[in-house]
Amino acid sequence: MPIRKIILAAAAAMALSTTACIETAPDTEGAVEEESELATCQLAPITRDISGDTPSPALSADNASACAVLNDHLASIAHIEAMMESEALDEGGVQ
Amino acid sequence: MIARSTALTALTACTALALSTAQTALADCLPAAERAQFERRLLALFRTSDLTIDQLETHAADRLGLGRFAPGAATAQTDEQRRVALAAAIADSLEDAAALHAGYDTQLAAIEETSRVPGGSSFPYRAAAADMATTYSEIERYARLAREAPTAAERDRYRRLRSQAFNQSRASASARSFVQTMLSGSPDPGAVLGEFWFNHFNVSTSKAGWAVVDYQKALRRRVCGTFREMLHASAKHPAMLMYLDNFRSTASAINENYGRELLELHTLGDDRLRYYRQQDVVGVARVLTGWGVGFARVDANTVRPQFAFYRSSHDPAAIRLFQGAPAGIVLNIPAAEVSGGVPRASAVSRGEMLLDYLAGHEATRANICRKLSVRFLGSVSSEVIQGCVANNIWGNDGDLGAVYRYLLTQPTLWSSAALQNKYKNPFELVVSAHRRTGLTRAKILNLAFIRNSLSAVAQLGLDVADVAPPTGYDDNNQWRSAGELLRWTPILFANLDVETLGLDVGGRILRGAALEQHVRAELATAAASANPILARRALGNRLAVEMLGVPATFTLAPLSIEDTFTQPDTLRAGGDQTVVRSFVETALAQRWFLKK
Repeated sequence: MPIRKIILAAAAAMALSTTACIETAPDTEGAVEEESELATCQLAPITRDISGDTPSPALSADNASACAVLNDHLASIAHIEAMMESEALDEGGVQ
Repeated sequence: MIARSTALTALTACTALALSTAQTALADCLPAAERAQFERRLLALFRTSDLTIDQLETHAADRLGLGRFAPGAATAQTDEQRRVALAAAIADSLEDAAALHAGYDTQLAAIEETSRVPGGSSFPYRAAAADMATTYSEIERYARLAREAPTAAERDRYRRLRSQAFNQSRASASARSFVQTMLSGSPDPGAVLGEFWFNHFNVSTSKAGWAVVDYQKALRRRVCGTFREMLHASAKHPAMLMYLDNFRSTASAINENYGRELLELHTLGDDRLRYYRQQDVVGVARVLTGWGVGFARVDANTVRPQFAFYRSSHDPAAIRLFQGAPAGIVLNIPAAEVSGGVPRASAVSRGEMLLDYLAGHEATRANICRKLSVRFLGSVSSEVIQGCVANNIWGNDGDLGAVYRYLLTQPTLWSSAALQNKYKNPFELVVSAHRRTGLTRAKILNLAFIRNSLSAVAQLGLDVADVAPPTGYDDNNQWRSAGELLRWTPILFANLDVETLGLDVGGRILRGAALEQHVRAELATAAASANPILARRALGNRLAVEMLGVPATFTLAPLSIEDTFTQPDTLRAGGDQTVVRSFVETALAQRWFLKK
């Protein structure tokens, strides 16, 4: 999934530098993001508004924030999976 | 890059969320207003029970705890005094059930050994007393250093350090389970309930590693709260989110693992044909998309793993659950509020609504009541379950203290029908054997002892804190097998210490060499009696009661006693085993000890 890889590459360094506790992150914070990252954040496949219509991926402030959230989640997933892989490869160790 | 102000604002809010979770007050399993009535009911049951006080005490220790301690000094109490004391002991321990016993963790964490990894930690169980952020941060720091290492040698060094830190966090979870139960009281429903709920909401250290110690504490802290609180705590904990893969579940790539076990194991029970269908497993998983693990940077050296709701990964569509099942109780989850086509952060409440529904569901009540009934009563009766699920006991959210008090005051529990009607699992076998020999705290908090004991439990078939399947280990006589007795005795006895075992002789406690001398003197007296065989048998039964706390109604197998006492010293396990040790092994290697 090419888009996922691009997001992961951009987000790898962010994994621990930005909070991923998004539960209470305001929806309309004025996040500033580089346009290249916004362009690669594809939200349409996973979002529908209440009317059921699929919105166009407009690069609004809301979308910028949502992209950041998505990036954080993907980074979190990648991070945990990498950890699990490392731990599975470990041999021995102190018990 | 996201503006720093955004990140810090969210961090502040997340900090508040995390702290509020951690500071959940300990509820009471036995509120002060209920205590007198609870003790009176227990006492009434003890007085009318068909069990002797010896049997009641042993039964309480086995069923509401991890077995009796060695008797110690004899006391001159009447049967009624002992019944009163037992009722009070049960009430005391129930009041204390949610206590975390942080002191035990501190002592465990202070155990030192020579580190196998140069520069690594010499305290293999320090994660037992550390918070999750500290444990995780150390592992992550070594991982980062390994990634950034300029040479292969340094990379390998940091990888070894990372591996050590990770394995130490895993070992700490197992060691905690063992030490907390070894040091627990008798009876001690809190220790039993801590293990019960961890097994019910099972995770394994293989997958959830550094998060398991915190998870154990999160559950134990809530054993006297409501089932709803327990369920929320489990669902949102990084350990569970990682163990059952919900951390990776998104609206475009749904992972059903947690949703399935949430319904099948944690709440409604394995009853697919009645209350839910496969489509509901998928629906539940959809509602929980975006429930993941966040890593909040606290300071330059510390990152805190915590629950995070990733709204952009959440499926916001309205959904109607459980309508296809014959006895399904429909749950309508409204569509999430969206902003710019993306769910708002408030959409996390949809998953919380689902959990609340499941916590109060009639099938959940029955499932939990049934499991607790098996745990405490060793049986299930429709009458008992009916009472347990009723609103005046379960309440709306699952009043766990009320449920425990209800089950513990069932006449069946204190009758011969429940006496020794269950088989101990390997963990209970090892712990209860050690407790019988009167081990001191210093001997328990010993690295070799802990490792050998956990190894023994694993050899008998149970990996403490690391049971792989979500079902946890069975509490329903899974451990019973024809070969069990012969199989486990050598494993258990290899690590058994009888040096701390004592016998009250005329007010003096004899141990070690003095005890050995006394027993040999008693054997010489028996040999000189009119009927040496009967005299040795009587001595064996008396020692079993006075030294090991074996119920007086139990009679040790006479042939094994005779063999033990008449065996030449040169033939006792290499020629150096004491009579006392031979006797202890004989007494414990009998069917009564396999059961509880």
